[in-house]
Amino acid sequence: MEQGHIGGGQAALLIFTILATKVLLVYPTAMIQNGQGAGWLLVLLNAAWGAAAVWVLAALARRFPGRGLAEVAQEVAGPVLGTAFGLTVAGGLLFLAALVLRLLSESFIIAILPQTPPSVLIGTAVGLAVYAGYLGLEPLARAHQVVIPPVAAAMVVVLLLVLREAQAGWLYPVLGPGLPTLAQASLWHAGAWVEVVLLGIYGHAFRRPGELGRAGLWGVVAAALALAATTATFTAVFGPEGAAREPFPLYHLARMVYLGRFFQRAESLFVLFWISGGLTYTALLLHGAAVTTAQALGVPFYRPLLLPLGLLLFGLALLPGSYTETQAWDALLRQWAALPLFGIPVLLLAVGRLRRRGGLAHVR
Amino acid sequence: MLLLLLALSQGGCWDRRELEEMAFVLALGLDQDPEGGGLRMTAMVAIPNKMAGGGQDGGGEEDTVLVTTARAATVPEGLNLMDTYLDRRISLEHTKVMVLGRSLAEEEGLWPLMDFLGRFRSVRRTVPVMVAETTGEEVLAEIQPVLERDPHRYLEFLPFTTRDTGLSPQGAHLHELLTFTENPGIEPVSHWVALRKQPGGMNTEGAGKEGARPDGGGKQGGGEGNEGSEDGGSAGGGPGQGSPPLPGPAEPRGWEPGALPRRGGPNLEMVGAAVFRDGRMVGTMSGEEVRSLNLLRGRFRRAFLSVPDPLAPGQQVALEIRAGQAPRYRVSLAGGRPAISGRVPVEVEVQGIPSGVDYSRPEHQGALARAVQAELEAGIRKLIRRAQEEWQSDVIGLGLRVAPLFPTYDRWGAYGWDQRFPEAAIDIRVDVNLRRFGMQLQPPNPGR
Repeated sequence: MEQGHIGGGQAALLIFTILATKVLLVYPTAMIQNGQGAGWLLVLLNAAWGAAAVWVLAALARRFPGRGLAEVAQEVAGPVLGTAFGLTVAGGLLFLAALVLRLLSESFIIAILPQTPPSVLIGTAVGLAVYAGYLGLEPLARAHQVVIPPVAAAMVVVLLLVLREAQAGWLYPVLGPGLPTLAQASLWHAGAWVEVVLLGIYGHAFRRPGELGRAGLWGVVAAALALAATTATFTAVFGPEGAAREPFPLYHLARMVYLGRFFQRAESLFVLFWISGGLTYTALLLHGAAVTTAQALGVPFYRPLLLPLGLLLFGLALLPGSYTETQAWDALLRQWAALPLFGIPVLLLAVGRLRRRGGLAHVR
Repeated sequence: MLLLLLALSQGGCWDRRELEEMAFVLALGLDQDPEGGGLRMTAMVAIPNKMAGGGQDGGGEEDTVLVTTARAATVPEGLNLMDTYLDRRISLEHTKVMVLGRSLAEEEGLWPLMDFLGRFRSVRRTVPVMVAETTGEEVLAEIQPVLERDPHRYLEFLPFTTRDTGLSPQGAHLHELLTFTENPGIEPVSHWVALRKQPGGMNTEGAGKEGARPDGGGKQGGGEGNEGSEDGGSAGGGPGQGSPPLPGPAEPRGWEPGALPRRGGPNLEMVGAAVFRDGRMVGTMSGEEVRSLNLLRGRFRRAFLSVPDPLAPGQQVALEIRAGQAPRYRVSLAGGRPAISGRVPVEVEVQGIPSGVDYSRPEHQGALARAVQAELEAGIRKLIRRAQEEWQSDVIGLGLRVAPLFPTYDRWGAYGWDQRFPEAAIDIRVDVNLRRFGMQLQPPNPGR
């Protein structure tokens, strides 16, 4: 397996990006639908599940240093179950990437390019994702370090520029529907953080396994803060009723930027957010799916898998009939994927300890 | 970066639109269709070759816009219809202002339009919204700016003036209209406009053509107005004894559009606001009331104000007031009736003292500050009384101050703020700070 290595900071940035890409999608809206004025609080509660998953994956990485999730599964559960688990994770990542890519393309079409067929946008993104995946994890991580900070800064600027339209009163009552309802909703949407499983997949890429937990936690906390800030701003600008109906929060916020006649139409910045977020997300998940498949099948190279998986990704992305159908599939996948993707690492850790696999046994 | 550039090139094929294929609606008028069952949609569309920079090449005095009206069930259908005879694809991307007819705002209200306005891609929520005393169609068809050649530019600039006058609502754009309507705690207002209706026609009132100076000797910018109209010419005259009266509002400073005490200038007036409750227009407020509203909402910037001279009865002091810090409110729900007290800081600069009283002297400043406070508080009390009793509409947004007292939405909803607002005890104090005294210290002494 050709392997690149990434540092803790690069990994944190990667995790931040794939988690914060949800800011372009319907996630903030879903949080406001469930949490009303306390949607931002729901985001933070929801992120706790992501942090918990990082904790489990970090424990797994400490016990099985230098190995990816599929390799760990094979060691703990045997070749058959381990391979099945690896292929399930790869399939889940691929399907998730397909749905997110379709959602991003549909929102791009709805808001900016109404006449462009989705297949063109999806095909271009998949082509670029295959190329980025071919370059490998290290170039992806380095490109990230260059592209994501200015994009994140532009997002912050957009949020700051629309604050003049904000009504702080719409963030109250502070508990929205009440704490029990918020806690329940946070569990229901735990799948929103399912992408942290990439940390486990890239366990082999960390030079120091101890970095994995720290990087994951930083990524989750930064993404949670970015999502909570966007959700709070969106609620304060559009109100809890209006924000619960708008599917593209950041796009709507960017359209609200109006500094007299001198600076307006900031949604052009949004094209940058969309492309950088969408491409990064697709490239990473495709790469992760290829690496996991290779690990699960015991194939020494993942690169030959990129093109067939890319074609599969393209086909899957075109399966849903409409934007709302894609959204429903995405919600369903995240709801049910949360259990295996969070549960199986816990199971691997527990069984590994019981069967004395990994850790000290591994060192011996 | 190369990947980004590749992706950016995606827009080049299917969604390619050449500028010369587009017809940009610069102002959109929406009216109730008197024949029922739909809308009357009026579009002020740019004529690009006439807007190319003025002068001979730019079309000189020719119209830079065309105004067309269509009847349709919905706005998109109206746009479709206009496409059939405008030979270009019509677009709302550059719409600068939206004008709603009064009957549409009062009878049908915003709800039937809200979904379209929020959903339609090319409608921008930053567009200022005006309600016309008559119809949007009439305003767009008959508007005659003077300082601006292009009527759409005039309509675009007009809402900006509220930053300096405070007489129109600050921030009354489509977004505010939509969000304040559908969210709890505050009700929206919009700009309120009317054409001047006077004997002799809309563009004539005594002093030659509209826009001419009252002495009849002036020329309208661009060469018009030097001959004067028949009606206007006969009634015209110089200022002074022969000058015809300038009728104004019944109440001092109760300025309403279409009835400002003025002569000359464009035939449109924008002052005051249309008041909404639950998506329907339920009344109008005067310019003075809007100034109080801007102060209470924390949106006030600056304005000139005249107050009765406290030390020289019968005289007025000219002042400039500016927003101080944001208003502060305290809310109590004890006793079952909501009680709200607020403090609104304003800063004052003296601009003119016709009486000659020296208000730069510390012993006189208290009296002037109290006079300003009394004037502003009286305006605020009047606005609150009308909001509570007449419109029953929380246009001030006090509900947004009450909401934090409730832990959950259920309890906030059950409280029923909309029903409680009219009975709330509201006490607002204005804190006046005399900051500056203009370019001189003492007023001139006529007795010397």
